[in-house]
Amino acid sequence: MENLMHASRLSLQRGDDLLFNNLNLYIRSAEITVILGPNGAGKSSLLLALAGLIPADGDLQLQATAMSEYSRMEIATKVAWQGELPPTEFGLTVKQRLNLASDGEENLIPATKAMEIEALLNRPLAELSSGERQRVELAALMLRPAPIWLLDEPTAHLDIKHQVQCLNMMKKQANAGRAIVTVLHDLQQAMAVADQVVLIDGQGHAEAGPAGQMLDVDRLASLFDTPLIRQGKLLMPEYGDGI
Amino acid sequence: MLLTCLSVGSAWAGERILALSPHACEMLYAIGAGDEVVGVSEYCDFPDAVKNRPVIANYSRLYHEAALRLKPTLLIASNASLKGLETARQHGALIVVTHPENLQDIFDDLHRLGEQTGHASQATLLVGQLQTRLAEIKAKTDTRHRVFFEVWSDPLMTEAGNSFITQVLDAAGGDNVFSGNNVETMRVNIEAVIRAKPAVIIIPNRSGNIESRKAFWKQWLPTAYVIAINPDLISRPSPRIVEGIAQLQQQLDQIP
Amino acid sequence: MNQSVKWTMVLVMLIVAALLCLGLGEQWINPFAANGQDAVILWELRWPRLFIAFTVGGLLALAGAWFQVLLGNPLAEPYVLGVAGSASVGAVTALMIYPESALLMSVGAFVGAWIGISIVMAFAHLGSGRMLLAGVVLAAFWSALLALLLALLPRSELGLAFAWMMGDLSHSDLPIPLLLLTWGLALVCGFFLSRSLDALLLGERHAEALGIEVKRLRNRLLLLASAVTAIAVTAAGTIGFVGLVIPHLMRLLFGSLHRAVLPASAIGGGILLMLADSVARTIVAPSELPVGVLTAMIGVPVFLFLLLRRS
Repeated sequence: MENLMHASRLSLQRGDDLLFNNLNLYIRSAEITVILGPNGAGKSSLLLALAGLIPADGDLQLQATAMSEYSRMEIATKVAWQGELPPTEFGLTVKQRLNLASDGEENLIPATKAMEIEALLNRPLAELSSGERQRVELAALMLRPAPIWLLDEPTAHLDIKHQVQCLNMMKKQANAGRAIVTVLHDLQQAMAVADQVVLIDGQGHAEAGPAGQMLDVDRLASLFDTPLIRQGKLLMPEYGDGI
Repeated sequence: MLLTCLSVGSAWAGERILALSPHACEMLYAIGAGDEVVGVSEYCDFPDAVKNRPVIANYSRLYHEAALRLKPTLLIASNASLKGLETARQHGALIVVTHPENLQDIFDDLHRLGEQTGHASQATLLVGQLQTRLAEIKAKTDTRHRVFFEVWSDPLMTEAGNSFITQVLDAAGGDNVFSGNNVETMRVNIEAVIRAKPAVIIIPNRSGNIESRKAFWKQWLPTAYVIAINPDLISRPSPRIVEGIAQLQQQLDQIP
Repeated sequence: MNQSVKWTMVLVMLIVAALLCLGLGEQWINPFAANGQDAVILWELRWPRLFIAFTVGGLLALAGAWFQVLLGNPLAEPYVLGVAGSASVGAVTALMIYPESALLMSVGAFVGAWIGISIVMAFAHLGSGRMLLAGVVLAAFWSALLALLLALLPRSELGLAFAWMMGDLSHSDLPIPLLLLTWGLALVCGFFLSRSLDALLLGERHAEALGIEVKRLRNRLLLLASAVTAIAVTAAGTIGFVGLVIPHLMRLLFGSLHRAVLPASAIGGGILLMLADSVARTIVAPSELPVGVLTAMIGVPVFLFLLLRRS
């Protein structure tokens, strides 16, 4: 395992509000880091900061050099980001969208196969469902040779089958040596893939640590401000008896 | 003949007149009513005496506050729907509209304005002189020329159809090449002018670029003669029109 | 249909439009067999006019395509957003400072266009509806300002100013070689930027994540779009909707990638304006209509149709 990225004393603001302060985080190859926290805590913002897309205070090093030393193009060769669904107004087709991610040179077939979008290649993005568009975005990410992948809720919009495929894809990529950082909402999914976990509490605190230590029932219950129960290896919200 | 009295009554010397168009202004001075003119419109520029008169209108509206302050008794307008006229009428002023569309209208309107302002005999005298002069010009005119009249150069515009200009050109011995088009002022394609083969091109001498306009026309119609003339003399339906026709006839006459 | 068939179609259209533009007019002239007076009219009037129509149309279409990417909105267009208006205000201001200098007028138009786009850009992040609304209000503002300036102009300049407001291709204040050069340069710049522009279609974040220096790209696009609008406005006045209709048609035909859309728009805009001008000087011959009247007749229904389809 190799240290690809190191954030120390990282703090992020949204407008005048402090999202979190003093986060220390290592992103290593062949490891999946899951970011968890309540709505609005700053999970996506952290991802954007790691991609160099928004400014952050503190020290952020990419392969032992400060992030600010790199040009945009250099960052893009090292870090790939999957975020919000792109706009559809201009009538891009799936194939054109994928070609934009791949410099037009990569072979599209493995990624389109993995995300099961071969049949959609010539369709405009505007005609797809949001689940299909999400799969296109994941395929676009898969075309990026960068050693670090940042994923913002990759399983959003997906049906169960594709959620599982997506998680398996992340594990496979990590096993192949890639560093994966992902925001997830589902605790089960987080437990299934996480090597490292970042918890952001929405009160100004953020903390990173090994999955086994961070995915603790009391810790998560207080993080999400919701009672949780452990059933075997699973952590479940306590829905109560009323339903 | 378009002279209209919008309000009954007749008045005599001691009138306070507002002349709301350049030709009305010229007519009033020509019949000796100039001293009674107390206010004029923006584009009244002849004779020189009008330049010290207060401006109380432009081509689209009467500045009614300034106008009423002058306590006018008679307003001479070229357009009955000029904004602000109604206010003046309500304050008791008499409104007379003059909008000559041909030479005879000019003579008729001179008579009417003469009667309205108590200068009838001067008006009759003037009209007689003008008509005599016109007859002299007509007698001198033997050859006729096909002419193109440039109203504006960019975009290129002309007066066509049976417009006032067409009649003025006719009186001076010129046949407007676009008299067959039933439009008064029109934008015209230069190709059409070239094809119409005018022998004479008349350009306004107001702009500072007479030489470049001459060169422009020489390029397209090398055999045509280009004449520059004061456009106010031939496009304004005032008594000076006869002078304009005379000048134009003289210039056309020199053309072989 | 493959790409080469589509390009052949565009080129055939170009030739047809050029032949119509040369042949139609106050009287039909056979472009291949003109003699005497017809030859003079063909070579010295219709050919120059064809070049003005072609380059101005192409520049307007390119400016439209750039605006649309810059503002992330396929309905953006220099005329609708008042940028043609602000360019006219700039040009007339220059005319008031120093009359009869086409160069200074172009500079004035450039500054005007730049200010116009910058203001509209400040509204871009509020969403397409509000941005278009802001553009329409600004367009009204610029035309009011233009009316004010025109009222201050000496009468001898009024005709010139009038021609601007509706578009006039009968002659150009800028020399034709300069127009052709601008057209060519704009196309080359478009070619080099086409990949970055494609990435910008995914939104700013995605483009940045793909390694595009979005801020620098936007500044360049702003300069380019201002320059091209300024040249078109100085040459022919404000002609609306070419920049809306043509990029839209070309996207339908060629897809969204700018490698094809930009050159196709540069040619397609030329085709549209040549056709519009042919009609403008034929239907009321020997008089002629301002060409902007015709482009608006075509453009406004297309604009409304697109607006309807988007909601």
